[in-house]
Parts: sequence; C-alpha cells; structure tokens
Amino acid sequence: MVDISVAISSLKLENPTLLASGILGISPKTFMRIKKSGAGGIVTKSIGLEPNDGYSAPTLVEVEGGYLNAMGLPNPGCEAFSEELREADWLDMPIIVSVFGSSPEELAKIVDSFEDTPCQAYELNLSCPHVSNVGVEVGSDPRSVYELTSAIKQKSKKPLFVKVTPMVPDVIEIAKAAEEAGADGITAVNTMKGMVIDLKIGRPILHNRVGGLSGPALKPVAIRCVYELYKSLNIPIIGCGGVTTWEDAIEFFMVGATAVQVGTAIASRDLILFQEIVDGIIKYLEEKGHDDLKGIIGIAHKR
Amino acid sequence: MELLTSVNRPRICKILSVQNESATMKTFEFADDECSAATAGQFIMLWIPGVDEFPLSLSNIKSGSVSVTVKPWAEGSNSLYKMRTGELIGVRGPYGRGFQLKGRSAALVGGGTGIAPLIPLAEALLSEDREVTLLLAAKTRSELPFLAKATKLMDFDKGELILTTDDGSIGVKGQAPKTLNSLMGKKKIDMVYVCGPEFMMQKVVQLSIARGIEVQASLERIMKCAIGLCGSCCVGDLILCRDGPVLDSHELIKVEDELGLLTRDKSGRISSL
Ligand SMILES: Cc1cc2nc3c(=O)[nH]c(=O)nc-3n(C[C@H](O)[C@H](O)[C@H](O)COP(=O)(O)OP(=O)(O)OC[C@H]3O[C@@H](n4cnc5c(N)ncnc54)[C@H](O)[C@@H]3O)c2cc1C
Ligand SMILES: Cc1cc2nc3c(=O)[nH]c(=O)nc-3n(C[C@H](O)[C@H](O)[C@H](O)COP(=O)(O)O)c2cc1C
Ligand code: FES
Repeated sequence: MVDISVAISSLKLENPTLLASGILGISPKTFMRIKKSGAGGIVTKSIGLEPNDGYSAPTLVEVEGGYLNAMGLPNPGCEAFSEELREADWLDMPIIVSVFGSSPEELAKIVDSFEDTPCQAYELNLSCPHVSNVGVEVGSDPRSVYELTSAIKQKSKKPLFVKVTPMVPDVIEIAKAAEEAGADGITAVNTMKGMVIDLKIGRPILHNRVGGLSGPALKPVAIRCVYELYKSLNIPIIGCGGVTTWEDAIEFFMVGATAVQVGTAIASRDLILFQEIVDGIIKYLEEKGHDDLKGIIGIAHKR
Repeated sequence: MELLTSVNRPRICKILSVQNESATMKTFEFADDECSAATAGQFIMLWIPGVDEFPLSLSNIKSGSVSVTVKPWAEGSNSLYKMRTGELIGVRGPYGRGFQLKGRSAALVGGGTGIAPLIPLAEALLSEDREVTLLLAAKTRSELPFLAKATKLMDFDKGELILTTDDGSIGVKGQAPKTLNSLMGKKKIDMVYVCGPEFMMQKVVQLSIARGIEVQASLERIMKCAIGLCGSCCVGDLILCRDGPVLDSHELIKVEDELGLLTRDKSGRISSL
C-alpha cells in the first residue's frame, strides 16, 4: 500500500494536493466539498485587515494556455472571515489561511484574529502581481520579506508558508530571506504579470489592464523556480502553477516539491480533478515500486 | 485545456435594437451564435468597456439574434440602460445550468427582471407541447415587463397568463405566492419554475415543497468570473455560476438556511438579504 500522506512542518495532509489561494476559498461549506472531491486541504483567499471589494470587472479572461486575472484581492477582511471560520467549528480538514499586508503591524493583527479558528497554518502572499504595496513590490525585496515573515512568526506558532513571485531575477534570494525569518515552507509560485488587448475596441480587456497569468502557460516557470529553490533551501516547497493532471504533480515532486496546489485547472476540469490527480499519483508510485513520495521528490536533480 | 476558446473571452457585438420593456426596463438585442445555442435560464457576462462586466439572463434566444433585459441599479446596469443601437458591448458565455424542461403542466412565476429568463422557458415548454401557466408579478402596471410578448405567447390552448400587481392596477391585487397557492388549488400543476426577488422565490419554493411539487428556482449572487474560480457566487456548498443559476428542489432544500436570508457582498462578506 502506497502512503501519499505528507507533513509540512507540523501540518499533516492525507495527500499532497491543496486548493490554491484565491480560488473559491471563501465559504467554509465549499471547503468541505473540495475536501470530499479529494483535496488534501485548502488555502483560503488572501485576507487583509479590511474588507475589500476588489477591482471592477472584467477580472478574468482566458488567454493562450491559461487565464489572466486581476481580481484585486477581494476579501471580507480578517474580522468577518475569522468570525465565519470560528463559527464553522465542524470544519474538520487542513485549512491554510492566506494573508497579505503592507506592514509587520498589520500582519500581526490579521494573524492574531485567526489564532482561535480552525486555521491550521498560514500562507503569506507577498506575490500578487496586480495590487500595489502588498504584492510583488514587497515580495521582491528580501528585507521586506524578512520583516513581514518575522512579524507572523513572532505572533503565531502555527506553520507559515511564504508564497513567492516568479518575477524576480533571483527567486532563491527571496525564499532564503523568508527561511531565515523562520518560514516553515515556501509556496512557489504566484502568477506573472500579463496583458491582453481586444482588437475590435483596441483596449485591454481586464478592467485593471494588467493581470496575473496562471494555468499551463505558467507551469514551466514554476517548475524552474521549484528546481532552483530545492537546491538552496532546507525547508519544504509547495509547488504551484499550472497543475492540471497527475503528471504535472509528479513533475513538481521530481524537481523537489513536497506538495502541490491546484488553481486554474478547476475551471476546465471541475473539482473532481483532485481525486483524479491523487489516484494518478498513487498508481504511478505503485508502478514504479515506491512506498511513498520520498522516492521521487527531487530526483530530477541527479546528473 | 483548450487553447484560444471564444467562450471565456468577450466577443464584441453591436447592439441591434433597444426596446422599452416597461417603465423601468429595457431590452437589448444583439447577434451571437454561441448565445443562440443557449438554453433558457443560462446567463452571459456582459462587458461595457471601461465600466464593468456583469451577469444577465438571456431574455430571448433565437437563431438570428438574442437579447437581455436590464433594470438600472448602479454603475454597470445604468450605463447599459443608456446605450443605443449600434454601440458595442462584449459578451462571454453562455454560462451555467439553465432550466430543465419537465412536467406536463408547469407554473412559471416571475417578478421584476426575474421574468426575463421565464420568457424563453415558456417558449421552450410550449414547443414541447407542455401546459404553461405564466404568472407575472410587479408593483404596478407600468413596471410589468414583457406584457405584449407574454400575451401573444400564452394565446394558445396550452397557455394561460395570470398577472398580479401589488396595487391591483392590472390583474390580481396582491403578491405572487398567494396567487400561485390558489392556482395550485384549481389546476393540476406538477412543475414550478420561479425567478424574481429572493423573498418571493423563498415563499414559492416553500409552498411547492409543502405541496410535494417539484420546483426550480434561478438565483442571483455576485458573479465575477462565471467559471467557478473566484468563489464570489457561493451559496451553501454550491458554486452558483456552475452548479446554477437554476437550482432544483433537492439543491434548494440544501441551501434552505441561506435562501431569502443571506448573501455575500463583493468582498465576500456575509450580509442579510
Ligand atoms: C445569473 C444572473 C442573472 C441575472 N440576470 C439579470 C437580468 O436578466 N436583468 C437584470 O437587470 N439583472 C440581472 N442580474 C443582476 C445583475 O447582474 C446586476 O446585479 C444588476 O444589473 C446591477 O448591476 P450594477 O453593476 O448596476 O450594480 P452593482 O454595482 O452590482 O450593485 C450595486 C448595488 O445595487 C443593489 N442591487 C444590484 N442588483 C440588484 C437587484 N437585482 N435587486 C436589488 N438590488 C440590487 C445591490 O445593493 C448592490 O450592492 C442577474 C444576476 C445574476 C447572478
Ligand atoms: C482567480 C484567481 C485568484 C487568485 N487569487 C489569489 C490570492 O488571493 N492569493 C494568492 O496568493 N494567489 C492568488 N492567485 C494565484 C493562485 O493561487 C496560483 O498561485 C496561480 O493561479 C498559479 O496556479 P494555477 O496555475 O494552478 O492557477 C489567484 C489566481 C487566480 C486564477
Ligand atoms: S462567479 Fe466566480 S466562482 Fe462563480
């Protein structure tokens, strides 16, 4: 019997698939449905200090090989969302709350509001490509990354994963800053900035003009980032970007990921794709004679 | 994933005609092959470049052209309301699960803009030779949309049109659920369809379930992506843009504790309806 459960710091997952941040991730009842569809756990929408409506629409548009989105970090704010989680005491599954903020004080307050909820770990989103002051600007500066990561680690004993942007010359430098500040894992990666124009009216389709590229087109970039990080870090990596099939997940494990997150693929494949990915991973490990994921994590680094 | 799909990207269409549907609603006609293939109850995301993109039900589905019907509320619907023949809109979709055609004798209950998807539904049911009772509700006569079209459509053996207004200025005075209740006492209705203000849908759903009659309701929630990614439209554990907007009896019972009571605003915060 193959065992595909994984532990990332003290967070235990029945299987190595997670729902990526910003995808659904807002209603506790849907979290349970996603779990029943086969996911090992979920990452919530990124939550800030205050409620935020997000940008005007269009906020999402399909492009070659994926989607561009400029949702604008819509979220109910930490007070309302933590209250909703607190009331959902029947939630019996790994919940990772994604948080964003522009200062250590702000993040400390946000994290504080989730300490007594079913939240089991945090993900720090330092990598949203289309919102200023809380996204890639801070996420591209190792000093800010260090400060913001430390702020959360000082406030909470729960595991903290830091989500990085691929839009930096050196992703290792950023991830190392997070590791030094006490991060328990790195999520790689968030979306990359892109734009799409409608020819008939000659203007960008997204209301915000610029949006983040996700889906299969992002996968090779994400695979490269995980590959680079695996060599230089001592903490686990969660792969994210374009995972659509079990083969994609295996590719992430081979470059060094311990778990994967799935986002955009849900649009074309439905929630049941979690079970398909999980079944595919099990079948692959069985065929190759591995007892667990350890047998394949990082093997692409061998020369 | 299919490359370069035309479904999840706005297609630019010219407005072919604009018609006053009532004192407070207008119908906009445009041509789009994908929408012509839609089923009643499905919706589109309509883009007004530079302003906003929002969901609208198709109020007419024909092979040459389709239409949407809108009531002005805020920025998005206000700017559509002001648009004229020849101006350009973006359209993506159609999305979601529409009405399922069922039963021998259906009652269709509509209020306000919720009447929009019931018009193509009535047409589809009649074309399959099913009996249709169309029950349209409004505050007052001048706000009752689709009057001419509904009258013409119901002018068959198999069709009956019942109007209700709060002030009695036309048809039965009172509220739609009450009129439906007395209709159910007189006629053998075996399928109820409803779309309108949510408190009205809640009553109609409760009434139908109490009488053991199957019911389908088309719900509204904030919709931003329409493809099941953003989560803005969740009701219970349902993702309304994909699992709905039309829910069946089984699903409606599942979301009973939210129906007519709770919704989420654009930030995702729960608020009461
Ligand atoms: C599947 C689906 C189908 C729809 N079909 C239609 C349709 O056929 N015709 C139509 O006119 N609308 C329809 N709507 C509603 C429509 O999408 C918009 O909500 C509405 O047009 C207002 O948009 P807006 O951008 O002007 O206002 P928004 O900026 O979205 O809303 C501003 C505020 O106005 C109020 N408001 C908005 N809409 C309503 C409403 N319907 N009832 C009461 N208060 C409201 C709310 O308080 C809201 O916060 C549908 C919605 C969904 C989800
Ligand atoms: C609609 C949408 C909303 C997103 N919102 C967030 C968010 O709030 N926080 C975040 O960290 N990432 C967000 N992301 C990025 C995803 O979590 C993920 O990093 C990215 O989409 C790549 O994975 P995928 O190709 O599997 O979608 C969002 C992506 C999409 C498509
Ligand atoms: S509108 Fe985005 S999930 Fe339904």
